[in-house]
Amino acid sequence: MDCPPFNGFVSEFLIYLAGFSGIRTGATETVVLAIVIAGGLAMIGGLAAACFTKAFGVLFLGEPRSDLATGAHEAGAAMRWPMAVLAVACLGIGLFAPLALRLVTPAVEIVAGSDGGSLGKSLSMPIPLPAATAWISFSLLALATGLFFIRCRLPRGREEGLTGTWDCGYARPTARMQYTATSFAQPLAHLFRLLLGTRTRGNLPQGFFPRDAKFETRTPDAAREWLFAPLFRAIDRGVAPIRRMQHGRVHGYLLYIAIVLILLLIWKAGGQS
Amino acid sequence: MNVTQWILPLAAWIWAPLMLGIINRVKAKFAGRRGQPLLQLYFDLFKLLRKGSVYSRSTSLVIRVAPSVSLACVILCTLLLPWGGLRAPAAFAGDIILLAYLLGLARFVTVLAALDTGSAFEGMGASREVQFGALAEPAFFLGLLVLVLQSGTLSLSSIMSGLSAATWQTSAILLVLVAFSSFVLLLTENSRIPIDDPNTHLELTMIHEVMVLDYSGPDFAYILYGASLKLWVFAALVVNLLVPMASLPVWAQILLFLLGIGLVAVLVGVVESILARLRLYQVPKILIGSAALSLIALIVKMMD
Repeated sequence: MDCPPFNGFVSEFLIYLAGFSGIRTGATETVVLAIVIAGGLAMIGGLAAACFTKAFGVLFLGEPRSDLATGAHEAGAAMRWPMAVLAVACLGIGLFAPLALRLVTPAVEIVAGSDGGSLGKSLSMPIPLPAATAWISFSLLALATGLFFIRCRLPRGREEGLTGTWDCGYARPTARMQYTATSFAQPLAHLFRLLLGTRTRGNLPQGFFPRDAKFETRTPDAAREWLFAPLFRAIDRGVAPIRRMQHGRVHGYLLYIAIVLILLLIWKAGGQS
Repeated sequence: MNVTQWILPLAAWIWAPLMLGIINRVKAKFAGRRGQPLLQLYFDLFKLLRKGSVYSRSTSLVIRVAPSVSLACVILCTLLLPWGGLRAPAAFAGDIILLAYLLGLARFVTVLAALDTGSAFEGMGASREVQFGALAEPAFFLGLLVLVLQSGTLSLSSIMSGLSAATWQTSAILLVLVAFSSFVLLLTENSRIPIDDPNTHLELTMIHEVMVLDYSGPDFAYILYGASLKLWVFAALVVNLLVPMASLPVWAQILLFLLGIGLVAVLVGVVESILARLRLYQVPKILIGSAALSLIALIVKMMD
């Protein structure tokens, strides 16, 4: 989670702080770097929010989207408490950021060198700042809890009516009309269509009484199809000649060993004389 | 801790709903109507707070907690806002980053609560909101970078108190570019025309308004109040950028600031009256354009 009061926020806060501090030196290279860091990280933050709301929302919220999901049930305690521990750790690092940073500082000092020039100096600087974010995280929790408490203590605050989700007067809404992962991501996928290369297939309904219609989209994994697959194919082609040596005939392998041994002997003897 | 520092958050908490009243009054005047009372939102809030609430059967704990969390985020944002030469109560170096993240968290929980209802409408609004959010955040941060580069400090309060009439003589172009970019973000983040239309309830064109269809009673009051505070936060940023008031006496700063907020509300009303809503496909261009303005300001500053 990259929001306050969680751990991801503390990390990103420090990265932004480094970028913004860099920009104050005014040197062109650091300013350009800071622009890339701040702009890129902001974009990543926005996309991460889209990604996490999509993942959590489609998996856990709304009506079950398939027959399998209808039968879903909570996992056993043994599967839940490890996740609870991790979740508490996420919140704990966010709330007690200065302590967490003190734990990490020795490791950073090894990488940066204890005298570490500017880095060593700035290491002592950020400690009070996470203290401020930790303070804000605490007040955020307290304020949200307080507001919820007030809301429950209002004259009719505990009164709860139950009804269906607002359906705009439509008679038979079904769970299939909900937003799915694909439809949720569609605007962003459209925005980045040059990078994603989504393929659509199907025939749209035509005429007044369309007989059939179907529509299908497929978004290939851009990194796998355009980066890793060609890369690994190229490596495969490059090492193919070596594979010919591995033919499975034992006397051939004995020959390799003999040749290597003789070469080693010659090299050793040549080195001594 | 200075008592005068708390005047600004208090003013925000008390007067933020009035901004929407001013906007609606300006729109009514443009359309030749008398318009609703200036204090309509206050009446609505008090009415809603006295009601019980209705939830959908599809919902879980998320939608019940979301209004409190998002309102808490925006209230904390008002604590980070400076006021001319007055420092914010919770000011610290790096608070500008926190401001962006608090608004991000408010968006995050609102989107989750919208998905909680399982409604197709709210899913649509949520999907658009995260798309425009992903574009608005870089624009916001690039604008902040300009201010950091200009002032050399990382705290919103120090940045704003550093702006003076002298800054206007040396780098007016920067301030105008960033203020314009902030104003575009104000329109986007607060679902105003030309990005979104706050009046088109139940139309398939909405972004933010559609996400809150299933709230009622006190929850909806929290949502509406949070929205008006958010409008105040962005308006305060624009006013701080455009009106150099650091050197004035405190009472003049307060008057000037409130006047500025009122003028921003009038400006939003005028923009809403004379512009039509954009097609959805045009909105990303507006946001990227707003980020580009901040980028230009950065380049101009670097060339100095």
